[in-house]
Amino acid sequence: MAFKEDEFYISKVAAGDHNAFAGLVDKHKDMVFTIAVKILRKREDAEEAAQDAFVKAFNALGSFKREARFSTWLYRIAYNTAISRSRKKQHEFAAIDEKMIENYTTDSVSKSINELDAEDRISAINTLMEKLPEEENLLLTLFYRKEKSVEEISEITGYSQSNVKVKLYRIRKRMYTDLEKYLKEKEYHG
Amino acid sequence: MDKQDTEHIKDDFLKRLVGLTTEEKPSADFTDKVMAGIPNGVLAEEEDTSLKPWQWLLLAAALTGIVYFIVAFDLNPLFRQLTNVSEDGGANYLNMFTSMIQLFSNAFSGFHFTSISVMVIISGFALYLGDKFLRKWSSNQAVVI
Repeated sequence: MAFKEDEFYISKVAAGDHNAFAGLVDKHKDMVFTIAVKILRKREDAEEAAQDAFVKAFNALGSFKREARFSTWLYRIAYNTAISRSRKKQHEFAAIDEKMIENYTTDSVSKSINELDAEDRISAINTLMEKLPEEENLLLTLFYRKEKSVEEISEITGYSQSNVKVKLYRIRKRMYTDLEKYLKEKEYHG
Repeated sequence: MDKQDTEHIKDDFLKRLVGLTTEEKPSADFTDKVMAGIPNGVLAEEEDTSLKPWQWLLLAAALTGIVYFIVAFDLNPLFRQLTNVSEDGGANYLNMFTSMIQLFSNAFSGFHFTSISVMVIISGFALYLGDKFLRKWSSNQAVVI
């Protein structure tokens, strides 16, 4: 489905056509839901939080500054809504064994992963991502899957850009370490 | 953002791998559920109630003017004339008003800028600006050890 620019829907809503808001919901619901489900993990909770975020956005649309990007503004609302529902904003990331991650080799991990069949590869990455703390999972998804910039992730989460970069760097290292462990276990048991 | 700045987190292999994950989608009637929660009626444009810089300046100028007026002019005769109270009438509130003005005048009587205080103000302002600049600059630098 082809969507129009956000400004088109926003102007219509501002002019009194509230049904035009459905266009914005359709356009952004996948991303808003992704943010909520990464933080809350449970599908039902995420769906409620995502709906709540859209209603909040609608009510606050009058205060939205048109020069800002609507999507980023909306994702920030979604992120805050999900975080407040989870009632435990995790500022601290899970401790990482720094000594351990120094030993990983990107090449060996990618080679071993490529040797797996497609189904095992998907299973491995799903398992590892589920094990990540909620916010790490979200950052990984936003940057590597949704291809959001560091600047936009910073605006959504409220972390500084430097902080986002450091976190992504650590998450990346952690993923390789976990992948290596996963592959070794698989090799041992398989 | 500087390209080199994100070089250490760019990873096509990880990108492909994360792209393999199953993406959950909201339910088919998600939009309908949201729209059911949307109130009817005209959306109120929120008024910007914050003061603009020129309004702050105007306010500051008005306050300074009032203070200067109170301090610079002796308002006692005018006040007596308006309220028709004789000099030795002894109305308590008039004495109270007079002493308040006096107190206010005294507070400002020793108020003058020495070269040191000017230097302190300028240094403070320079430090504030320097701090803002450094914060902005440092936020654009990824420091990953």
